[in-house]
Amino acid sequence: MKNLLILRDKIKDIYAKESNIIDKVITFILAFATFMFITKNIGFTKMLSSPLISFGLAIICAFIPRAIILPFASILILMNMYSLPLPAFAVTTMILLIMYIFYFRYSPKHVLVIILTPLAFALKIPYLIPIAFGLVATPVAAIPVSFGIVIYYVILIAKKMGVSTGESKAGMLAELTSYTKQIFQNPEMIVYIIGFAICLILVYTIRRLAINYAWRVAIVSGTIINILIMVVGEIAFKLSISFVALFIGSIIAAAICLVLEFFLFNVDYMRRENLEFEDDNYVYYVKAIPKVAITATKKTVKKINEDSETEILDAKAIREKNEQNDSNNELDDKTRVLTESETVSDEEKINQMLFTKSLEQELELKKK
Amino acid sequence: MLDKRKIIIMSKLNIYEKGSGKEDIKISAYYRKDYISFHTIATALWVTLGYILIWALIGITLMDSIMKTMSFAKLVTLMLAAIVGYILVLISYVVFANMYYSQKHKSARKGVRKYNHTLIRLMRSYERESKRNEKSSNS
Repeated sequence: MKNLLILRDKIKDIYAKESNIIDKVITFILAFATFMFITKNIGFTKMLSSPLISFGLAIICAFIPRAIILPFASILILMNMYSLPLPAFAVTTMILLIMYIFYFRYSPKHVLVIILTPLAFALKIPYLIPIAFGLVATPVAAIPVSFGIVIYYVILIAKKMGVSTGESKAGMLAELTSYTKQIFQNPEMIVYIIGFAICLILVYTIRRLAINYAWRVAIVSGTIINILIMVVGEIAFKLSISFVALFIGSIIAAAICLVLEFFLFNVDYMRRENLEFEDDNYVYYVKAIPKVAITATKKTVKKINEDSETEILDAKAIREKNEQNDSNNELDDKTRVLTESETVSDEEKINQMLFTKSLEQELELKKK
Repeated sequence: MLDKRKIIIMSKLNIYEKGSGKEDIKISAYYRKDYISFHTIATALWVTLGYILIWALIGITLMDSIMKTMSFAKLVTLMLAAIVGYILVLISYVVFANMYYSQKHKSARKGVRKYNHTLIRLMRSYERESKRNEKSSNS
């Protein structure tokens, strides 16, 4: 555990030092993954479906504010949808415009949520989204999560439409109705939207409670409620959700959220303190829970370099010097003794006299 | 000789100018009422367009079922629902936009005020430096 905490602090230090570069790299990876997801699924325009285009756009996105990824992705979706029948293009444009008009004009910060949601679906871990954003964001994040789910299903349905070959005999109006119904009367999408909204709000509510291990309880509750809603939806609407994928995906999502908790909210509940105090106006009941922090021992290595400012001494000369000093020291000792005796205190003088006297007595006794 | 305090002040100014200062200075160029009213009108227009698009999508999705059971009373009910819904949505978004842009203008003005104070501090340090240079040249 200690090593994990040291590793976490090291990661934080590295990020603090190189945040400029790391942020750009993360933005590039996010943008590239988003554009590749779009082109892989609905890359109907050959020129735009090239990975080089996605790479170039991602490089541009790395150097501008992250919120620009969404408009670029929207334009890429629409340009690819232009190859499909006009109703598909029109309905997709209307959906994207509605999202912009009613939400993204006012909160461009939630762009990350809408980008990560389809990517999580593509990586088969969609259940991570409501739990993670319930831990780090507010219940308002349920709106961009829903938008992300809608965009994912729009892309999925457009992909199926693009794959089906042969001209449709139905008219434009019938195509329009059919495409819109496939999106908005899709029970799987509705179950995901409702399930994720409930899960996000529940996780947010539980993690803000003043209970011990609130985050862990929130993660476990969120996972369970996710599974329950998906199972109920699967049974009620006869969806095509795989239970194996559901359970494995939920476990992976819970594990990732526990890692998130380790980085963002690592506290030691064993050392909690409940305090009660008051001032003139209020009585305070305070629960203080210390954060887990560890100071890494900094190893300092001193290198003694032979070449820097050291002289090579002659051992023989030193020995001779020492011998000379020793002989000098005898005299010096005597003189020092003499000088010391001058400065020695009365007590010490008495002791010396007694010592010499005792010696004399001994000697006399022996002589005797 | 480098003046440490001046360098710190200039760095803070540069950080602000490169970051949130760009938008803040543009926003604070408007009077508060002008800024809020301009953006509220823009919001009202966008919301109108968005509402029409929502009803268009609802109409397209439920076209079959509506056409099968259409009657004059149903048509009037739908139109009334659309108008009442539009009024409610418009009012709520206009109120929200008013509060949102008012807060945005306030925080922009605060940032620009702080930026101006820092500029004044820099100007004073330049004045002090020029006085010092004059004294040293006179002596």
